[in-house]
Amino acid sequence: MPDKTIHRLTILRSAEPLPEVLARHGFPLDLRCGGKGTCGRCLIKLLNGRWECDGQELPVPIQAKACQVRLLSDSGEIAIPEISLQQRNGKMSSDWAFGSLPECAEPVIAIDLGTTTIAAVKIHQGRILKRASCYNAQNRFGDNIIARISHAEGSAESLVELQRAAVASINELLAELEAENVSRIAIAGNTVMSTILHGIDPSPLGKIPFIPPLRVFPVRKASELGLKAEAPLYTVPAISAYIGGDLTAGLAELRLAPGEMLVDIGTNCEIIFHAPQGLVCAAAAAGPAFEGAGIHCGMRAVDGAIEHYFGKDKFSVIGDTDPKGICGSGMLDFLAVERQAGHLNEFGRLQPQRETVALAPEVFLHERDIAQLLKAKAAVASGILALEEHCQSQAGKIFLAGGFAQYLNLNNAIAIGMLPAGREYCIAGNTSLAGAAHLACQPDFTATLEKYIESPQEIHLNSLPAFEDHFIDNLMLS
Amino acid sequence: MTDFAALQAAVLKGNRNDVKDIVQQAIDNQEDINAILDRGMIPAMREIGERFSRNEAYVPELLIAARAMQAGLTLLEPLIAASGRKTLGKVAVGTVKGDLHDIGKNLVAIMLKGAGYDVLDLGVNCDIGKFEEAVAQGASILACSSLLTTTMPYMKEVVEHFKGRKVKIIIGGAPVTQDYADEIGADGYGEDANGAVKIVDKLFQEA
Ligand code: B12
Repeated sequence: MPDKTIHRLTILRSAEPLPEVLARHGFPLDLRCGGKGTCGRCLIKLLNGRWECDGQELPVPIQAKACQVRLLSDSGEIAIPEISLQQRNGKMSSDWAFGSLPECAEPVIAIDLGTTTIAAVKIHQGRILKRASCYNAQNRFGDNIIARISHAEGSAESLVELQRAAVASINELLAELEAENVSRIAIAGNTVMSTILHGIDPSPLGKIPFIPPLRVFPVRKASELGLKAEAPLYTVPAISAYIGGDLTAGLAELRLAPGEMLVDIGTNCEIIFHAPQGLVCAAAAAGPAFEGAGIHCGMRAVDGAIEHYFGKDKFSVIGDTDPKGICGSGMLDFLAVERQAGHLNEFGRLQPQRETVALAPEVFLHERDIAQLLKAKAAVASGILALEEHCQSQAGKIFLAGGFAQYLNLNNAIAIGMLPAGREYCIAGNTSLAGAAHLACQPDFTATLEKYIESPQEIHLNSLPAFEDHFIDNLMLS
Repeated sequence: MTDFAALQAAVLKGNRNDVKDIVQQAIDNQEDINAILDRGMIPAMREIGERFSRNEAYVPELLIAARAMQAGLTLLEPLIAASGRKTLGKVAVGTVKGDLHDIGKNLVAIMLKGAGYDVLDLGVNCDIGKFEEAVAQGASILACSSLLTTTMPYMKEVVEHFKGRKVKIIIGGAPVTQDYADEIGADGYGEDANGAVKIVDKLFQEA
C-alpha cells in the first residue's frame, strides 16, 4: 500500500519559514527544488488559520506548497501527507566490490559524503563492524550542486546553514556508529560537498574558470567542524571542481591500468580514463532525470519505486508496496524493454502514437519524460565516446561506480545506448567510501592520494567538437 | 532538376548524407540558391518546427533534423553571401558570459537561419562587449541563451545595458521562464527553438 499517512499539526506564527519550523519538529519536507516553489513536492493542506501566498490571502481549507505560504494569524492547522516528506529508508550503497582493507588496530570511521545521500562504515581490524546511511539534510536547499553553490553564495549565514546541515546529517551517522572511541575519521565527497563541509565559500566552483578554492583539505579535529567526535578528520583531496575526492578515492582504490576507465553515473557523470597518453578525466553533466527529478512520476530509489520493469504490468517495487512512482533503474528498463517490443521508436516516441503510457494505476510516463531520459543517457554515452575519441583509444574495461550502477540492468543500459557495447564492465560499488576507508585505516595513504590528484588531465567536454555530434547521435534509441 | 521533395524529406528525417548529396548536386547543376532554400530547406525546417510546437516532435528529432539542415547550409553559406540574398533581418545569437552550453543555442541559430534570417552566431561565454559588436554589425535582435541558474542573472545585465536602445533582447534556455523574462524586462522569451523563431517573427513584424 502506498503510505497514505497524514500528519495533522498546529503551527504557531513565527518569522521562520514554514519548512524550517517543520524540519525542526521532525517533519522535513521534500524540498528538492530548494524551496523555490517549482517542484510541487511539498504540498500540504491548510486546514484553518489565515494564510497567504504571493501576497494574497488563501481561502481555507486549501492545498498549497508549504515553501510558498506564510501564516498570518497566531496559529493555524495543517495536514502533511507522508508523501510530501523527505523519503527515508532509500537504497543507499555502502558496499564495494574489490580489495581488502589494510590492517589497522584501532577502530576508525569512513564516510562518503554525497550531494543526496551519506553513507558511513565503522571498521576495526580490517573488518566492517557496522554500516549506516542517511539523506544529506542539505537537500532542502536544492537537489543539485549548482543550487547548493547558489545558496551558499547568498550570504555568510547561508554558507553556515549548509555546513551545519551536512554536519547534522553526519552526526546522526556518527551516533549510530558510536564514534566516541574511534581514532580517525576519513571522508570523501565531491568538491562542492568537501568545500562546504570545511566551511569554505564554494562560489568559485560555480563560475568559469572553475578553480577550486582548495584541492587538499587540512586534517582537522572533527569537533572543530561541529562533528560529535574528537578524532582527527581526514578528507580525500579533489582533482578539480567537478572531479572531486569521491573520484580520487575511486581512482586510487582501483589503480586504473592502461585501457581501463572509471565512470561514476550520477547527476554529474564523471569519467576517468587511463589512455595511452596518461590519465584523462571529464565531467558530463547528465542531470538528475535518473534520480527522478523532472519526471512526472519519477522518484528516488525508495520504498514504492518501480525498480525493475519487464513489460506491461510486470515490474518489481522497492519495499514490496504498491507502486508510487518509478526510479532510474526502472526507467532505464522501460526504455530498453519497450524499444525492443516496438512500443517506442528510435526517437523515443510512443507507438502507436500517444502522449503517455500507464505503467501502474498511479504511475505513468509522458513523452516529455522520455525526452528527458534520452538527454541524460546521451550525456553519459557522449561523455565516454568523446573522451575516447579525443584520446584516439577505446577503453577495454569500464568500472561503474556509484549507487545507480549497482541497481541498473547492465544489458538494458547497453541496449538503450547509455553505455557503449563491446566492453568489459565491472560494477565497482561505492568506490568513494572504499577510498575513504583506506585512508581512515592508513593515514599515510594521503601521500598516494595527493599524488593521484596531480596526474589526470582534465578535458572540458564543451571544447571537444565531437561531443555535440555524439550527444545528438546518442539521443536516439538504437 | 533538383528533387525538392526529396531534399525536404531528407531534412525532416535528419539524414545528413542525403541532404549533403542533394544540395551538392543542386549546386553542381547551378540550381538557383534561392530555390534550394525557399523550396527545399526552409519549408522543411519550418515544418519540423511546427511539428515540435504541436508536440509531434521532441528535442531529439529537432536536433537531428537541425544537424542535417546545417550540413546543407554549410555548403550553401558561401554562395548565399555571394548572391546577396535578401534576408528577413539580422539576429545575433549567443550563450551568455560564464556559460559554455551551446547545443540549444546552435539549434536556435539553425532554426532562425532555416526561417530565413541572417544569423550572427556569437558563440559561448558572450559578455556585453560581444553583444555590442553584434549591434555594431547591424543585428537588430540579440538572442541570449543560458543553461545554468548561475549564469541566468547575466541576462539581466545585458537587458539593462541595452535599455533605451533600438535593439531588442530575447532570452531562452532550460532554466529560463516567461516570468523571468518579464521580471528582467526582456523583449521576448521562447521556450524552445521554434518559440525563438515565433518571437523573432513577431518582433520584426512590429518593427
Ligand atoms: C550537454 C550538457 C553539458 C555539456 C555541454 C556541451 C555543449 N557543447 O553545449 C558539458 C558536458 C560540457 C556540460 C558542462 C557543464 N554543465 Co551541463 N548539461 C548538459 C545537459 C546534459 C544537456 C543540455 C543540452 O544541450 N540540452 C539540449 C538542448 C537542445 O536544450 P536547451 O539547451 O535547453 O535548448 C532548448 C531551449 O532551452 C531553447 N533555448 C535555448 N537557448 C535559447 C535562447 C533563446 C533566445 C530562446 C528563445 C530559446 C532558447 O531552445 C532549445 C531547443 O528547444 C544538461 C542536462 C539535461 N539533461 O538537460 C546539463 C546541465 C545544463 N549542465 C549543468 C551543469 C551543472 C554543468 C557544469 C557546471 C558542470 C559539469 N562540468 O558537469 C558544466 C558547466 C560548463 C559551463 N560553464 O557552461 C546543469 C545545470 C544545473 C543548474 N541548476 O544550473 C544541468 C541541468 C545538468 C545537471 N547537473 O543538473 N554540460
